[in-house]
Amino acid sequence: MAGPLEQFEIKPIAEMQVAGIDVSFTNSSLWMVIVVTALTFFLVGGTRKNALVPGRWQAMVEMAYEFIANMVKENVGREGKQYFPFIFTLFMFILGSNLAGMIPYSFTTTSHIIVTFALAAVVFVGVTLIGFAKHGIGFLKLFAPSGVPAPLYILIVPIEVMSYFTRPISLSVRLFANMLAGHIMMKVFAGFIISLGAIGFAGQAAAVLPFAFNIFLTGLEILVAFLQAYVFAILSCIYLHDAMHPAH
Amino acid sequence: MAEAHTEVAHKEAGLPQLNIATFEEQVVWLFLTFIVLFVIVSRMVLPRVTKVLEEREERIANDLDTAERLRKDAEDVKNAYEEAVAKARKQAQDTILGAKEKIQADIAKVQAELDADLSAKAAEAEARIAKAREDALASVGDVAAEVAGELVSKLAGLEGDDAAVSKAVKSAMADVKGA
Repeated sequence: MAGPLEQFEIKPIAEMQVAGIDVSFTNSSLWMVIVVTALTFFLVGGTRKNALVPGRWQAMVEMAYEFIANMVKENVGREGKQYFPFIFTLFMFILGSNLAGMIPYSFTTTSHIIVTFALAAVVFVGVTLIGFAKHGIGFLKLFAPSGVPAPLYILIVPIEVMSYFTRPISLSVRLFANMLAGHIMMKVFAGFIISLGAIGFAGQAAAVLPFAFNIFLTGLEILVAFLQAYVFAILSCIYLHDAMHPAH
Repeated sequence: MAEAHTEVAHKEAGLPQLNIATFEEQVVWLFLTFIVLFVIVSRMVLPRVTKVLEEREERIANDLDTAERLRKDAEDVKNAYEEAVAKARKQAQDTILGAKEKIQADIAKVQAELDADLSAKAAEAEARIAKAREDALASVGDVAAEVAGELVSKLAGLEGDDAAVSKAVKSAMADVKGA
């Protein structure tokens, strides 16, 4: 039987190299393509008719739109509108990947630290560049909050700098660890069902317990899939807000 | 090179997530698929949703405006109607009052004419009666003289002097009148 970590194996489908860079098509790439295709189908299909009175599908797309639009408006402010498409894509991509991971025999792309870190790094670098582009050197005020007695700056500035640079790590590890832990748990309990089932009638009767727990875990993991996509998106919004208003 | 790394890594124990050899292709495909989704979302999906939401908002605002306008119109019509009814009522009352006054005036006029006519007739009749009485009274003396002459001739056998008789009767009547 497969171990609980085997589900995270990257399996090449087609080995490829372009200009010395490894661009092999793997099960991970396959599921990224599937997720983007499914999201495109969902989003484009829902807005195809663009009716004044929306149907169910269109209402779902509009709900996603308004959910993220409100998130950006409340956490970044009016001037955050230009970053709305990015935050929307980010949220939908992570949510889609997390949910696709719940399909049996699928692959969870967001359970790989390099994927979540790459996304977090884009947010981090983007926020830093926007901060300096908008405020120049004044962006550094972010590290020296106003209203603090001068001697305390010796302590506070290094802390602020450190917390700033741990942002991409905490952002990426949060999502990665949630996906990893959830999927390992499900796999472990699924393993219990098989093992108990192999040791006779008493074992089969007892296997009901891990089975029931796995049903509960499935629900929980779907909740986590939404929650972590939400957390990733809202933290990105909060970081963007810092880039807009470093003096706060 | 990458192939060799991957194969070696597969045999290693531990988290597949820490296999550095797979990082390159994951990042490449992540950015590729993410950018494709970003382009589709920002060029196609979001403008469409923005448009339909704006249209809906506009439509609702327009409908509310229209409703408000129609309500105002209805109110104006109602006010105009009430005004017209009040005016008509007042006019009707005026007409009734005017007619009543006219009729009363007519009645008064006709009555006055009738009164005048009647009193004129009454006066005329009185005048006629007075004249008739006077005539009657005037003729009483002649009749009395005649009767007296007849009496004298019949009773006394005297052929009386008519002039003396009528003179005596006149003086007797004057005594009666005077009494």
